[in-house]
Amino acid sequence: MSGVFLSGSGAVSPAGWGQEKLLVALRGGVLPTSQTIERPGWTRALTVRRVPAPNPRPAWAAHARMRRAAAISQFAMGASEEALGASTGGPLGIVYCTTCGCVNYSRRFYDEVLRDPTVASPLLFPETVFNAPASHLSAVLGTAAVNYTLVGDTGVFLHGLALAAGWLEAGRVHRCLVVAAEEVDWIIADALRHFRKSAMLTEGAGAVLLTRERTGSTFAELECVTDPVLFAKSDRRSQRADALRRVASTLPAGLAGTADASCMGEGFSASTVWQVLAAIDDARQHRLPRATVCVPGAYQEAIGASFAIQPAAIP
Amino acid sequence: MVTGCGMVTPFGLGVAANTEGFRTGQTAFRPVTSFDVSRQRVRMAAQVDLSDALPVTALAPRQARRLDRAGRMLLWAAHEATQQARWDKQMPVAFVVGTTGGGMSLGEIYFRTALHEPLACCQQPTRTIGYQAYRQTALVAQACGIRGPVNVIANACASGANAIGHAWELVRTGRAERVLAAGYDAISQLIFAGFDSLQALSLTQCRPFDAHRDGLALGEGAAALTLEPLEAAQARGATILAELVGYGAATDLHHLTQPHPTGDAAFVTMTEACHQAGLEPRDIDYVNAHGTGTPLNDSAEAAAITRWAGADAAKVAVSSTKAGIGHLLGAAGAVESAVCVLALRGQWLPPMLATQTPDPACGFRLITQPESARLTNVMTNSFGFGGANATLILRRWT
Repeated sequence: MSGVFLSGSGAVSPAGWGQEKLLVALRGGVLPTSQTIERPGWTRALTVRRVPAPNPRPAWAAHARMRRAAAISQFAMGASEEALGASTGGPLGIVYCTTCGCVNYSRRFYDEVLRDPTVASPLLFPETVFNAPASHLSAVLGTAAVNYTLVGDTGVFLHGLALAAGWLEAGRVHRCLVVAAEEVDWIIADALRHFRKSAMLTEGAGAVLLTRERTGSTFAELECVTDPVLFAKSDRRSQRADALRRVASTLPAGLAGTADASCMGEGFSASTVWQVLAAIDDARQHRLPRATVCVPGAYQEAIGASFAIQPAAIP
Repeated sequence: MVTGCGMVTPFGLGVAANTEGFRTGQTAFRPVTSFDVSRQRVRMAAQVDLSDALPVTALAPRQARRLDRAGRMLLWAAHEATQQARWDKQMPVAFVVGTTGGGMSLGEIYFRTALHEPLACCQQPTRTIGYQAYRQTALVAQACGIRGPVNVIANACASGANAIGHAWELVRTGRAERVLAAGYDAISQLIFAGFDSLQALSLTQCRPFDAHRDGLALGEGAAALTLEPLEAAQARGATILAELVGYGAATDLHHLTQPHPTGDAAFVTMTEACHQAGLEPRDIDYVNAHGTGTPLNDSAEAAAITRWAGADAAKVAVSSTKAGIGHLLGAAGAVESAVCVLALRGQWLPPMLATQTPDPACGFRLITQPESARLTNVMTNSFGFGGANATLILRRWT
């Protein structure tokens, strides 16, 4: 996988719009405040951590595709725009990754169907499909090149990196955005509660721009993405830890950053991008040659990846 | 090389049960029974007769019970394909699956329970996990003895074609030794009501490329193909069913649900797939069109095929098997690829009997009656919401 470079990155998180806001929050350990959302049928609210409204309003928000787009699409767009920066040249592929998908519009549309299908909104339904955010990204960025939506466990973003690297190596595209995004909805917060009562659902997105050549903005090289390890046979913690050890054993040895983005909350696929960005930032800050991440999925798949820090990117 | 093929459609379970239905152009539409459609505009779809029985696999009964209707169809198709391929259980195999809804029916039950019994906990964690397409897929992989990486592609109605195309690229570039590629989707209330809300469902009969067409019909099913390099297949003495020779993928930026009127992205994918295969349009003996039966899709696809085929357009044979089994969404591309394998093996063209008055925009030959044919290269198109377009080309293996 050598020869695939990370040449741009972006993030939208409860810390705000922009990668730097996420990294500052993680470096300083000062986390954004949480909010509560109503859960029908309960008197007690659910606690979550949400993305604040963008200020100023991004120019892409006026695009016809984005006017009715769900929050998840807007997060993905914000992170992608930042990752893309001023990059130009050659076909741009898109790999959009998610765990829960467009759950807010899906829940709202199904609720309408149960109440009265004759008046269920035809405006909501198209936004419920998993690849709606990816479609909006292509349309707003004006790229008709190949565009995949991957659905997977928390580590699906790393699968996306491997897929995009394959496209670049095969010459299918010259550049590829790999994006992951999630959004808060009471139904996901409710589902999460069944597994971890203490977990706090969060939302946002992250993106990296992969290129085949080093550019002026290249900050890391994708060294490898491991094969995933399933620990599905049991929920016992020992199996989860064992799966993580197996993943870690296949990553390159050497000094690596160990930052942890999970303090932001459970953001599924978005958490993994934040973890990648935080690990690379940590390695750069401490002048380490490598950043590695090992992701124990919420739904029992562990996977890891390794990134070589580019010397010019070390402050 | 395609060395195994499995399918589940409204025509039945397994390749043998499906061949005659597609060859003769049967239809499988009937009243929907899976959920309440009493207040929908349309109440018909092509449903699979699916019992609780499952093939004997490595799954424990407790695990098998976690699969919903969609997952069970995927298991049947994957099991049939891998059994036919006779892959050694120790072989490294990747699994690439396309779907739009995954375990949507479990998600619907979860939501209704959470809403109406807010304090209920029983079964909700199981539904949460079972709803996830990749957990279903992982269970099916386990059932078929597959230990490699699993990827789930959700490119709306092109998902199945993208899954097979991606699997082909993995094998062709040496990134995987063998890949099981599949597509699956079951009819669910949310998706059925969604298409109905868009008024995309036919109030009469699904008639692709008919001048009087008025919409699509929904169906459900699954199909799986096993892909491996020629050398590996020959070394094992495997029966080669067909060769996958071309794949094109592109994105239509026109609208979230509507194709560009001239089918620009479809033109790109057909051209790209031909380029990869080293073929010209005149070399394609049959096009299994996306052909949903909606006014917008079919006119855009007709424009794209006519433009792509150029001077040879009148000779190109085209039909849509959605006339018989409806639109299988994430399964469509996989099932239609499997139909192409059957057509290549049997040397016949699948007809669409309901299409009586061809749309004048169709500058090609529509197949409306069963026909025998000499087929060497066949193409299948899949287009989805969000502008996901994909084209595959399969070649007869002799």
